[in-house]
Amino acid sequence: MMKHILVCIKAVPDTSSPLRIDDAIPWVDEHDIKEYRMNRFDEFALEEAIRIREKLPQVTVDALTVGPDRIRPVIRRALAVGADNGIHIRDETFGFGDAHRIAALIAGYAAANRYDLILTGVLAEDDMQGLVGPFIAEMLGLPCATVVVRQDLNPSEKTIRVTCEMEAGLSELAVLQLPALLTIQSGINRPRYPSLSNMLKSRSKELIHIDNRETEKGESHFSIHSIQYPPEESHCIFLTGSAEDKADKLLRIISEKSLLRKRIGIP
Amino acid sequence: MDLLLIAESIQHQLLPTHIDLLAVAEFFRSFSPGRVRMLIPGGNVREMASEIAETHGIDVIGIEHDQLGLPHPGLVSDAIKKITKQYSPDVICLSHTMRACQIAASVAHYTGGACISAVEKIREEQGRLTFRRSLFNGKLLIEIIPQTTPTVLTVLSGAFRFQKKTGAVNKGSVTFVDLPVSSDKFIPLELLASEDKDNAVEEADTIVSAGRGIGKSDNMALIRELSEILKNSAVAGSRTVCDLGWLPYSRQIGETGKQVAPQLYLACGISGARQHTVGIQQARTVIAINTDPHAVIFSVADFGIVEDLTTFIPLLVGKYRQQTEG
Repeated sequence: MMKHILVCIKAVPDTSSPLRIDDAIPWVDEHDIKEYRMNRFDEFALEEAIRIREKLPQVTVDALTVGPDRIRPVIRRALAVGADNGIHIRDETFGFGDAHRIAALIAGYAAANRYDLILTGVLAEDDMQGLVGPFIAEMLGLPCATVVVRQDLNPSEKTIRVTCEMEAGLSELAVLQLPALLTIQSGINRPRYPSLSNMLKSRSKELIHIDNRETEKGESHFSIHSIQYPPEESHCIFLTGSAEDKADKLLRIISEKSLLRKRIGIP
Repeated sequence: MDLLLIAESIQHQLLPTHIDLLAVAEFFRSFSPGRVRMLIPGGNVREMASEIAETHGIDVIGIEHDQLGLPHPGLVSDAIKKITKQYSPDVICLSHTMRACQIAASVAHYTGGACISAVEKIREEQGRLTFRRSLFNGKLLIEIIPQTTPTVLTVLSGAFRFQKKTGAVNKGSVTFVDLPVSSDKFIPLELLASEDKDNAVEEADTIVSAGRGIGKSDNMALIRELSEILKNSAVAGSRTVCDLGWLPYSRQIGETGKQVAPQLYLACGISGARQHTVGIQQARTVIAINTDPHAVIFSVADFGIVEDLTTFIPLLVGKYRQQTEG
């Protein structure tokens, strides 16, 4: 019987503003981070889990995140969208994540709770590693499929058929035995917005807290040399002046390449 | 320093990304001697294995299995684990894809090595290697120093240039290794090609492309209007815009979409993540419009305009109308 789904969610800094580097960590300067939000790929993973539960009402969906207390609103958001339980593994480390270590924390929790299916986003928008999901699968000995753009669960056979996106318009169709781990690609669904009633419910819902006292455990697999801005290799010519000036200049540039539909007169 | 390169074959074809791996090997050889071996897993790899050994003078290890005709990261990981025991490489290198990341994580966990994905640049400084990769869609770069061995890497395709050696090379050896029996927890079924018949972006001379920065679906009308003033033009977009359903996937430009070569590519509200810009490397001229002067798209653009699209496009189209009607 298909019962438990775990969705791993990452809180990522909202980066609409320019990023400053804090060399002491090193990572982005936390003073610049106005808020954390759910990693976009994880929104698709969560939505997919909720859609499975809509078809199989006996299923519960747990949303889990690893991080400091300040990212808790992201788990609340997962509950508001429709997760049944929110799990917060407290971890105060801040900066470029050691995927191996984060995965070990999640795998430790997951192993004790016997999930039938574990979903993560394809990658995190901040550090873009794409490794935590595969590490968890490896640690738990689960079959793993990445970049899933479609899934068909067969609860009676305990299998899941997936379409994995590849390069150049190709994709692979495969079948996995449950329990399994999938990393979900954006576009697999349209993530819903939280409903008002769920939003209210989520506020009073108790989160499951797990304290991680093992942050120093084990050797570190790498150290950070530096974080930098990309070198200025640009040959870009910025058009200057008022918006009107820029529009005139741009029309002229396109016109000189004879790429306007009709020729323009010289003003 | 001993290297193990992991090539990929699909349906009995060696993927061209094996060249990226050879380029990485060449880089390592430039400062550290050592053995370079290439693993070629696949359904039937005898011919390609001996061709690589002959052309490039490296030792090739072939692994054949019925289920390796299609991507099977778990099985490839098993193969690498087995080989690693025998050869203990210092560096294991794959060409970056998400399935390569899966293999890398699996092997790194098994060996206790350091796993670094999507590497763009490798630097050697006083005997220490640092590996550079992007963060936040290329807004920042990070340099990482591995602390455990082996270093398991996925490298971005195209990041390392390969120069084929001239002159004769000594043919490398070819050996075959048997795989342990695979489990049936993951079974590849078939390869699907997209059934897309929309060739508009491939055939266009000019492309107006929308990114998340256009804000809302209503603003797609502005993109279409802008497209209408250009010669033989098509509307396209970033992955995000297609995910939102504002455009069909047949109009998606980038790594998982289409690679295009128009005369003019007008990027509107596109941040310029590498996943997108690999699709426009062949564009003759790139013009970017974005409110964020630090947007990465400007680093690949020929001309940049820092303006709000919702006011700038109507202004531009209005001026075009004035000047063509007059």
